[in-house]
Amino acid sequence: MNLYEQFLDTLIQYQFKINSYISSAIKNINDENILTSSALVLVIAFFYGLVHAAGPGHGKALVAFYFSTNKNNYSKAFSLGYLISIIHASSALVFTFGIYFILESMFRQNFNFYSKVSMQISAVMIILVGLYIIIFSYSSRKQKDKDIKNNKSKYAIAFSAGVVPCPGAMTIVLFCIILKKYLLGVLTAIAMSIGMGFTISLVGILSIILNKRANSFFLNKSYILEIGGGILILGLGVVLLYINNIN
Amino acid sequence: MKKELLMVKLTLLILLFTYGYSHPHTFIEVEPIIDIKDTKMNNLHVKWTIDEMTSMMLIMELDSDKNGSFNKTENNYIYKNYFSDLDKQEFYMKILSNKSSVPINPENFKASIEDNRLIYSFDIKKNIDTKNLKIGFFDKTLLVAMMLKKDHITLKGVNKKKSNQFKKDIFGVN
Repeated sequence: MNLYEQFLDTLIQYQFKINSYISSAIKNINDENILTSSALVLVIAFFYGLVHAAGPGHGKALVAFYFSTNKNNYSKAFSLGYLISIIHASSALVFTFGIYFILESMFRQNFNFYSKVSMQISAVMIILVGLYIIIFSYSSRKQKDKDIKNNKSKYAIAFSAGVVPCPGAMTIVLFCIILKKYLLGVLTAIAMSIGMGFTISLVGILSIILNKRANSFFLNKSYILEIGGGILILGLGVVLLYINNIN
Repeated sequence: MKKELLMVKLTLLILLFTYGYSHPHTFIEVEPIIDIKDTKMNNLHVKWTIDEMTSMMLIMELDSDKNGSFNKTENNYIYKNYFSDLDKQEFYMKILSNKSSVPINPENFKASIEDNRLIYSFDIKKNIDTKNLKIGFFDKTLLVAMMLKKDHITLKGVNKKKSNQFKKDIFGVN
């Protein structure tokens, strides 16, 4: 087992333990311990989100590409990280409640179908964001202030990465729905998204640190790095679209 | 400076290759039982215990008469619509004999419910020499985590000392 596999294995072990803690904590909630047990579930959900987002997925690659190649500060890393996690969890809530209450049956099969559709939408959006960054970086390569248009791509990135509902959050929300603990399901998804947002933001901060070092190498030619990032994001979108069309 | 650029590229590459995959959302505890006779494995019985949250979601759909157990019709439905599809993922396992891949053809599939958890069990009837035999459980996409513990492995037909050695040699667990 190499270092990366060991890292993933450790993450999986932790997630399995937290997953078991959450299910037993939710099941054990009763009228007498409702406040303390619900608080405990939310704390566990926060840590679950933290660890869960550290594994593959959740738009970290997109965030890394974006911040590695665009001039940004740390607060933007947090705002993008949390934007993604909020959209990610909201999407999970809408999907879960929608499939459960509107379609009423065959949750798993409907979930797989809509999940695939959302991934395709996400992949197309990522391709468009990549194209936008390439064209914008090239056309405005001599401009110093790119903040306004930069924000547009930030929101597009957040929506592209977040629109795919988090199946981890969906599973917990559905578990709460089955046990008729609807409010707890919503709060758990929120707690999880706060944890996920923190991890995604950290990836953004790491990328900004790397970007600052790399930018000093490129000096006034930083647009080359931005175009490179756009190409990587575009490539990522193409790969995701390909994966979601062949499976 | 070149080192820093290399770091940027490496980080991006690692993230690119992990993005296409999903982290686990379902956890399956695997309990294999191997029947060994004259240094040959003649049956591999596999039991999957699916995590409670996923189990409840699936049981809600699959236990159509809501009686807490699966009858023959339900069992056949699960086999046809859920289990047999997993052949694309080689049933989340790999058997290697002398480094050659052994086809996985599960038999005697049975779905059941124990303590709110969904259980799948099945047999793989193969007559394979245990020498240079390797068995692994994993999902390439990481969507499902296959959890194998040493204590969950049973080897029938060998003594305890040999059993520990087989667990290490065949399943790679210490």
